[in-house]
Amino acid sequence: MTDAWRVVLISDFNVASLGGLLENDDAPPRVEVTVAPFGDVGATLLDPAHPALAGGPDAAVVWTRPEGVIPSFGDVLAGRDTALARVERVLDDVDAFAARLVAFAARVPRVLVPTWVVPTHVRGLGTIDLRPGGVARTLLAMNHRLLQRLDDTAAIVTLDAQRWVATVGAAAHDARAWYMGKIPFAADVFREAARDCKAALAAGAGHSRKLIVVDLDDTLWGGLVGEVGWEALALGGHDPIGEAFADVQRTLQALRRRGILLAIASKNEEAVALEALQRHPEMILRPDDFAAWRIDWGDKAANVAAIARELNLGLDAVVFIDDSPAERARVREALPQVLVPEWPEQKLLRVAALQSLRCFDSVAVSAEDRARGDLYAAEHRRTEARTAVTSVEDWQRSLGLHVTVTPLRRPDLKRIVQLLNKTNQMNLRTRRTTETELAAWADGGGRRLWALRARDRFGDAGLVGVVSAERIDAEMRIADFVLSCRVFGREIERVMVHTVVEHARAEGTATVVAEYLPTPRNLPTLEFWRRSGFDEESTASPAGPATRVAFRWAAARPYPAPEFIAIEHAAD
Amino acid sequence: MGDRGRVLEALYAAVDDVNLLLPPRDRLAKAEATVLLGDAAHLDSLGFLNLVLAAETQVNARCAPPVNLAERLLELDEASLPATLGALATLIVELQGS
Repeated sequence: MTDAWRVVLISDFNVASLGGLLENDDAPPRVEVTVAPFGDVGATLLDPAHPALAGGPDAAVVWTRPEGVIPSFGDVLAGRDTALARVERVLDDVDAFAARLVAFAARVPRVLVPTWVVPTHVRGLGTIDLRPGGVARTLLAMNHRLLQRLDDTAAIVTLDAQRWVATVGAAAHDARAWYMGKIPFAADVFREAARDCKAALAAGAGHSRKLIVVDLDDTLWGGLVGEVGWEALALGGHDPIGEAFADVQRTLQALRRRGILLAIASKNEEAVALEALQRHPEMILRPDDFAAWRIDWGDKAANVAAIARELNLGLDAVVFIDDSPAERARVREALPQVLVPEWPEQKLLRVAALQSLRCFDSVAVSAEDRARGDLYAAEHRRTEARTAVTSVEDWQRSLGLHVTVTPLRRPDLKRIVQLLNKTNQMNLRTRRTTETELAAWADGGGRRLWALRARDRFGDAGLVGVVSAERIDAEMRIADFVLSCRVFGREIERVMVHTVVEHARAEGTATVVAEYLPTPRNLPTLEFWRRSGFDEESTASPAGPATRVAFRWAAARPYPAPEFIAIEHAAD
Repeated sequence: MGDRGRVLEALYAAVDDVNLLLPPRDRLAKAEATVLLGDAAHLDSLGFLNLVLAAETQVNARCAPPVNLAERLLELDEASLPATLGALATLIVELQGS
């Protein structure tokens, strides 16, 4: 995939404004937009050779008006027939349109589909419009049916256009723009749409933020705990400010349940702050909810960077939230990759500010995501255990690590794709893909993919690694080598290499090859391979100054797995 | 600031709105001499429409009395359309006075 994503916009109205907004947004991924001729939705979806799809777009946005693609809904709008039979016909038309979208999504890796809306001044049957046959009732049923029909297609992300309209309010639909330019929405609706489309594309590209580092005083609770003591903090209770802070904590807790890690950077005495977290009766977030903390009088920028290092996350995965403009400015200046949102001076507005952040959006939430906070809490306990033993080797042995290696299975596909798309640091080739693409790739001849699960005496880390290989002539080439940053340094990397080498030996190939494709963030991968025992081979690229780095292993020799890891090979 | 000054201020805010939609090479300068129509213009018909709608919104939010700019432009023949930002400001001031 090139640096800029090729995105095609398909619509039954003039959607060019969305294209301009998407192209002018500098945040990754950058996009180049092609606008299909409007009113040509059916042909564009059905015809693989349609000129708008030339070159194979990386993503598409299919944004339509309900009456533009569901002709029978036009009859409902016109009040021609409100009988229930009409609604059934409308839903049949929705099914047919959804089927076209699903077929289209087999050819385009990511398809964004906003839900249908009608202008707010359209009142259908008036106050009884939510009764059967009403416009609003029919539209609700249409959107519900569309979502149901698209739910099982991983490449399709449905977006809530009603939220864009509600955010803009009464001016969302601009009749002037419609009659003069066939543009049904005001510019502000397109801005909201562009933000959500960009967030969805960024999520698919692995650009979602993964960690929130929060301040404590006047950010997580009201008041300075070192001054007033934990008993007097504004938190919960029958107090507007206290309720607002409790809601901030509830929102953070909800993000944690989506897989976003929480950490603390606070200028306080650690014991005092932790006592507040442990003892305040209305505290929502407790110490176990945080993956790491730095509570001291040091520089916050340095502490944020240290937390990211401790959690094996890049700074571009971090969001920093602090009520102090000076601290925000300091972190922005020192760590420009960290996202530091402006934080409202008014405490009552902060929940909305937190909830409106799009940087955590993902294309799916897996069981591993939901458990991630607990997994990091277990990691915290592992680290404490490490201080009690004398060497890294003793520590690794003490963990009782058990790794299960499983061939590609359909139920694992979602998590595997998520890991491929989100992992940056231990990622040999940084292939970004979709479930459809990966399944098709794995079906090709000479290819194998394994998923690795890890558990130890502190807990089950779930599916943490993916390794795949493709036989090309006498070489077994590693196609993917991806490991969650949560389990770096446990030697699971060596289990992954062992798996591929054993496969190569069984297949009778002469050499295993791992070619490293550098990115700004996968240096830890190169460092691992340089320690791996493979022979390094660097050649200058004919295309320019870049150097190609590959690692080779003669498959006649077995590659030993760490003897302190129990490995279980699940059957095909 | 006179009526024309306030109208120009509103037009420049409209230019800011429209520039968000335009590629960098086509962005409009906030100057009375900026060409809107004709061979020297960077705007296509959609861009011109977006500017007109944004101008009407910004002018009516900042100045009184409100103007019906979009519909007035529909009444003009092509040769009479304002070809520069300055000419658009003049037309708006005329509409306010009529």
